[in-house]
Amino acid sequence: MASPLLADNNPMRGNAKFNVVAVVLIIIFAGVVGYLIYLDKKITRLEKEKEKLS
Amino acid sequence: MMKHWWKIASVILLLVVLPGGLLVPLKTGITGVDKLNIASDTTSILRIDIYNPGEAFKPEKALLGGKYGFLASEISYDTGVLTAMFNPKLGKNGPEGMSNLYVLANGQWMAFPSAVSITRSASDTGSSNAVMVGTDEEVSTAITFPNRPILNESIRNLFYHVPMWFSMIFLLLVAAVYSIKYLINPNLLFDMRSDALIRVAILAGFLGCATGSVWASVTWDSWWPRDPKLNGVAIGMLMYGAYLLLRSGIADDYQKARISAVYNLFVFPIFIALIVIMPKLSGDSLHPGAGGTVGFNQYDLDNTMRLFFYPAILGWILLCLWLASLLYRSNKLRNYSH
Repeated sequence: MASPLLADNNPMRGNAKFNVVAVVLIIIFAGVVGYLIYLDKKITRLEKEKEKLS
Repeated sequence: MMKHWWKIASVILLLVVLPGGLLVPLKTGITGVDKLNIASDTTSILRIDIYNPGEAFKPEKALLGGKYGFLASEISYDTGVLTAMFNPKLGKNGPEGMSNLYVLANGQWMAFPSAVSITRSASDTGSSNAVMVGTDEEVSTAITFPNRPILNESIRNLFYHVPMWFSMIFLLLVAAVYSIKYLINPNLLFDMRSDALIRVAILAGFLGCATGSVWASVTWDSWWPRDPKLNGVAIGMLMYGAYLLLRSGIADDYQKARISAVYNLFVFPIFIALIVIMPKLSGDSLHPGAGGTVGFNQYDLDNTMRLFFYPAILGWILLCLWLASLLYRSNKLRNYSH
């Protein structure tokens, strides 16, 4: 059924706009994981420095 | 174990908020109509999408308009689709234009704003058949809250997008406290704490911008709508971006710490003014709680939303504090190893 607000090509509006909630959660998850990767690299660098000193 | 209670609390709160916020169903609401335009003085049949009707759904009335409107002469309902027959007569002087659609079912009004436009037919010269159904006030308070038009299921973003901003503001507040502590007692550990908090706050702000942008593209039809809150946030993020630049440009640790603390104490009140006070003063914002309204009353009238919203704020704030403490501890280790 055609609806003025729901009938368009934006897939994020699918499932009565539930899909955008999934996109939002993916963004937040990606942000936290990206931060963990950054921290991981930082700590790896520290470990290497420590090895050199000892 | 005891000293980690707040990390455990954050995980437990988010474990409640993530599935709860995603799985609790929405109330019944209208999500669409099959016509954009109908002519007056003509019998039109509208097919209306009813979302989450439930088994006991019993429509009583359908109404086009507002305070004065046109009642459907006949309605019938079959699995998610309400069929309503309208024959609106605008009369000689009745205004043409967009009408809201209201459906009364199981004793509650549901609304779908700007649903159908009514155009005048040539034959429509007699008197109008609009009736008065309640007042605007009654109609607007009767909107079933959690299935709000435009938002629909995306209202769940309240638990994920909004806490990013609460976390950012809270972390920046704690960072400002550490900046004051540093200025009173120049211990580099205070500076490192404040710096870690600001960096994670910038991450939370960035996530807030990105999630808000996709949400806006769905509900407000623009990736970056004209809104005083968004513009305030953009300036605020740039100010904190300048903080990062400022820090990277100073070699001496104590000088870096002192200048950062002073800059942070200048920027924090401006940031709060830009994202909290200015949108209120401008009187015109898409965001709730800005311009005229105070706080979140308009937003989460519903108690089930509150049940998840408050734990969500607390849970995300604690998670961001955890991220900041990891950054602080690794920075501390680096400084000791040098």
